[in-house]
Amino acid sequence: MIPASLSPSSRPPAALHIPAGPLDIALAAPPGSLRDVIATSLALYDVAWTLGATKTVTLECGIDDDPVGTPVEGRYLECAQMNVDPTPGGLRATTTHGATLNGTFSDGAEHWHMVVPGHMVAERWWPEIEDLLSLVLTTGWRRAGWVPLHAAALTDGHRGAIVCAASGGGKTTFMMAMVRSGWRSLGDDKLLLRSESSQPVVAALKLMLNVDPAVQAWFPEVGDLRGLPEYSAWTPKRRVALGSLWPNATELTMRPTTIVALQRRPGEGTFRIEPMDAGETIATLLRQTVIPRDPAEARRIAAELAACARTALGVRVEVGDDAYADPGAIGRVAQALR
Amino acid sequence: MAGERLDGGAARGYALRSDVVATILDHGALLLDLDSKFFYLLNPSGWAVTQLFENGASVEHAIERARAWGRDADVSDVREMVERLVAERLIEPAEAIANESGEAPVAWQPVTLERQAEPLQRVIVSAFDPSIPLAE
Repeated sequence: MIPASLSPSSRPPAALHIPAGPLDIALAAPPGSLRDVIATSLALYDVAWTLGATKTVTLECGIDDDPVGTPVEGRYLECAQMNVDPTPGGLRATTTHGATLNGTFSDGAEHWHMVVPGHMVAERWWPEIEDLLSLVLTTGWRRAGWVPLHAAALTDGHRGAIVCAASGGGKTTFMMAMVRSGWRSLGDDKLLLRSESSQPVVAALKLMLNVDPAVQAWFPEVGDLRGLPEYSAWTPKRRVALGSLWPNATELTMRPTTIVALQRRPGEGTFRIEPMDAGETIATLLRQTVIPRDPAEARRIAAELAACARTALGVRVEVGDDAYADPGAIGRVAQALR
Repeated sequence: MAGERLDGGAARGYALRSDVVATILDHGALLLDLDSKFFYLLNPSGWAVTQLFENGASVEHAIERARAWGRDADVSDVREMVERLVAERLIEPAEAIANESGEAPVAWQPVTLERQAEPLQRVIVSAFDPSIPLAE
């Protein structure tokens, strides 16, 4: 069994400092697989932050063979394997297999305390640890004034497109086609958004892509990715650095001018493009971010998305089966973006 | 969604539920119900009427204000919209009501309250990913 690491006699481990966008995560965890998996997860946020000062968020982690904790109800957030409740000083989360996370917040700081049952570490059951980390990060980013978006982003230097689709909806492939035609990317699934001087700004968080090896059929330049390790049992995708595929195709910030709702359209054909009205455009953005049940937070997130939708053109892009087989087809999409 | 009707209760007061969040758009407003996860789009006239309920109003007061803003236009649709606000549980009975004068829309139009067909996901993948929690 793995010994408890939070006993009063144990010396606190030295903190690792890992950047994640505008956050500096000070991670204190016992050496071993738990600390390694947390550090690896945080290392995905590989963008050097250039938009002002960063904020330190402390995260203390420990392992307990006999954790005691009451599962919370999900009054703040209800995820597949994690529920989150508000507390007088912050938030408390519990996971299906018994890990807990308590956050206490002050004006400019957040302190988190994670306790992971020994059996989870022994079984190397990491998805719930990643869920807890996503709570630490999204809370920190929101409290720093940003709205996390689950979307891809592209710019040609003048125009900026936020590309929205559900997981597995084709954001990465679309992004790769646009990059090949000369656009630059801020990433394929994790972005930050906020308004500066009434103008929305999008910031990159990670430039590591999640690529399905099957795209080699359309993008031979990526080579055979099957030799890379799978990072999840749920998807065949591999992690590949955007810059390793297309050097000079990365960008760190942009002003969004178009919101793209990407939809698959089974059947022959390439792309079908049609404009969206303002309601559809904000609805598209609302579906790409997590909105907690806290009304004040929800109000601020909705206001940021509304500000973005107000200044951007909304277009729906339906992707047919032949969309990427014709390298020229993506050019017609690019022309339709404002 | 089954909800309370206005039958016989038009003089009663109602207020926007505390977990219904309003965001002003260029042309109207968006209401997000944090409980049901449905969201709604209101045109400017619909938002002007709905805004009266932020601090509580009676149905008759809302209709009276709409009549004033609409300069004798047919405002029968206002009662229908308030009935929908009640039926969708966006407003709820309230004891203390302000019956404020409210802010007139630039130009009165028949009120619209459009519910989006699909709600936001109630249960999400993670704190970052709002997608349907299914394996890809």
